[in-house]
Amino acid sequence: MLVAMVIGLVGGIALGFSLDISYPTEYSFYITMGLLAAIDSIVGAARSHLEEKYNNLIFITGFVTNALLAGCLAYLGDRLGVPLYYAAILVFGGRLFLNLAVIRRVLIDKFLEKKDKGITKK
Amino acid sequence: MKKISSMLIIGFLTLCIGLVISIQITTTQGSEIGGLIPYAKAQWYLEELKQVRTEKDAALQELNELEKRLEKIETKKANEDFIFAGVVSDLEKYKMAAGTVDVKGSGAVITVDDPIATDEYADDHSVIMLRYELLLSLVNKLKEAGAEAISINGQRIIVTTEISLAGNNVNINTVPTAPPYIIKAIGNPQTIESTLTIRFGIIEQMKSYGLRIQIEQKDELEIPRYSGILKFRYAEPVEAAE
Repeated sequence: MLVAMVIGLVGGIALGFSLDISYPTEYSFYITMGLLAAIDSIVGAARSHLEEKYNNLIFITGFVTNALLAGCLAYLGDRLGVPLYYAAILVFGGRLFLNLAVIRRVLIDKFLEKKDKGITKK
Repeated sequence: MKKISSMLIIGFLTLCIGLVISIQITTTQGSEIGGLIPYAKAQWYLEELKQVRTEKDAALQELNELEKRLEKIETKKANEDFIFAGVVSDLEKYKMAAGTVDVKGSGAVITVDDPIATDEYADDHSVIMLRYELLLSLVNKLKEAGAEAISINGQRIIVTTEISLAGNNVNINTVPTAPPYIIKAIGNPQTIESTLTIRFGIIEQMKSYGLRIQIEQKDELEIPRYSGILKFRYAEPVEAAE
């Protein structure tokens, strides 16, 4: 699963650079907000996978709705003159760190477990 | 089976993320003029600007020192050589005329400032900057009054000096300037003041726009030199016919 993520990411970046696609710059900000939400969803998926609670449907719906909501919030904020995108940045940014912390813990736990087993075997 | 499908989906979605990231990077790199400059880059530019400014200052200082040395050598040579002394004094005269030396003398200082703000939109525009022609005709009148050297906000008026509105600034000697405008002129202080303040004269005309103007006569004031480079690319002297 993690391997698929890395392959997808690297492949996507390579594809984007080689294919010379572009969208209007005025949408760039909203897309960036959506991007933040999407990254959050991916990290969340990695976390739930490590905790063995991963569900395909939850992941996909979360991915799409979060990205859409973040983009729409940024757009709405622009229209209203209130920086609503702060909400998206704070929530998704915060969750990103939280998820990363959990992933780190889980990985360290697994590593330590393995080490313990190795020691007992000897 | 389920695991493979979920891997495929994740792979596809991360592919999308990677795609967006790379497109975003190419768009932000491709349009630096379009206002999409990353914050870090702006900081870097600021740093670079600072550095270039200090370099410029250092270079200017060096130039000044070298010019002082040149002057010393010139005076030394002039004391030795009779013909050379004539050449040096000629040179000094031409330099004064061209505006490439600091000059001092009696004259007048004219301060021009925007009208006192009466409405909330007054901060958005500057009367004197929109009507920069007033500055031009002021300079013209100063010349009429026999001013021998003129500067606006430290920019010496020389043959190539322009005064023109460029965006939000008035460029003088290609240097952006902003109000209040302090115009210094060396000449006869009385003549300058009376030429400007004559009835229906330039000062009255400027005051009709609400501009705040002050004229001060000075016994001693200093006007900086023109610090740019004078270069003639098209004009060349006509050979005298024999």
